[in-house]
Amino acid sequence: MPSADAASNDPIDLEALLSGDRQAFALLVRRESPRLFQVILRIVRDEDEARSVMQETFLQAYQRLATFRREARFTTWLYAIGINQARAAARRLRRQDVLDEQDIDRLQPTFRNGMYVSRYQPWNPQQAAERTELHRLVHEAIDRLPDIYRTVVVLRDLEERSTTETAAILGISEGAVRVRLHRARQALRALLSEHLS
Amino acid sequence: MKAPAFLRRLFRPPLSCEDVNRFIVAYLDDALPDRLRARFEAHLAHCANCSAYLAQYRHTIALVREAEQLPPPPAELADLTLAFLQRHLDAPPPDADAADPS
Repeated sequence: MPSADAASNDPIDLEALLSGDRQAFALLVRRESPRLFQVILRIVRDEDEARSVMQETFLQAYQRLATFRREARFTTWLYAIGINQARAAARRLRRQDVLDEQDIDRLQPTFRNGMYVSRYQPWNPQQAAERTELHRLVHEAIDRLPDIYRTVVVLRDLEERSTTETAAILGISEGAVRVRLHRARQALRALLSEHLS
Repeated sequence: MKAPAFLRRLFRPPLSCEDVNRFIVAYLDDALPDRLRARFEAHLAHCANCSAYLAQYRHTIALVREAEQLPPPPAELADLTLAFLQRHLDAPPPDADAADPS
């Protein structure tokens, strides 16, 4: 692959990219590597694995350029490949105590006659565990989310992608993105609550 | 016979806590239509439990963002990827030698 000038802000020539022009593809690699790596790392949780998944993602993308349908942005298509690969890698490396759908159900608030069954108080930061410990608890809680929920949290809450873009990357409806995000956040809230109440 | 719109608005029942919960994602995305947003906020104004739940929900999102900050990726990341691509794209197919009659 030829070296390309990453500092250049010139738009990447999509037609050159799709024709397999290596200079254009090298520019894509330089532009997208940092962000794509972070998304993949947040899913697989291991730097070496993330690097390997990202390299495979670019290789697959290059080899499958002819399958790009122009229905979404090229980078959306690239991220969809990367996230699929990252999810597969995460399943191989998966922890033993990942929650299942019934656990996620149990972590949702319950209602009677339209009202919450439980009483809530805003969390008191003074009562929270020490910051480092709190971050560890948050990591653990996220790691326990099933893959389909964790991926939505990564894209919406960490990468700050829009609902529309998240839906396009994951190949699901915008409604499904909102439902998964809400269930994931509510499950995380419940998991963290015992350390913050 | 359908009641006029202004009467339907006048007698529209207030949102329940469960309704409010269902609209949290859209509310935080600033994606609720104006009238629904007003009803959502009117409920919050008099429901301490929903306000507290929403505060915990927001706090959860903030903690996730804070705890999941990553350092910048290694500077050589793109170079390593380009070298990887060069190796794989320029490699002869695995059975090239076997297929070569010479």
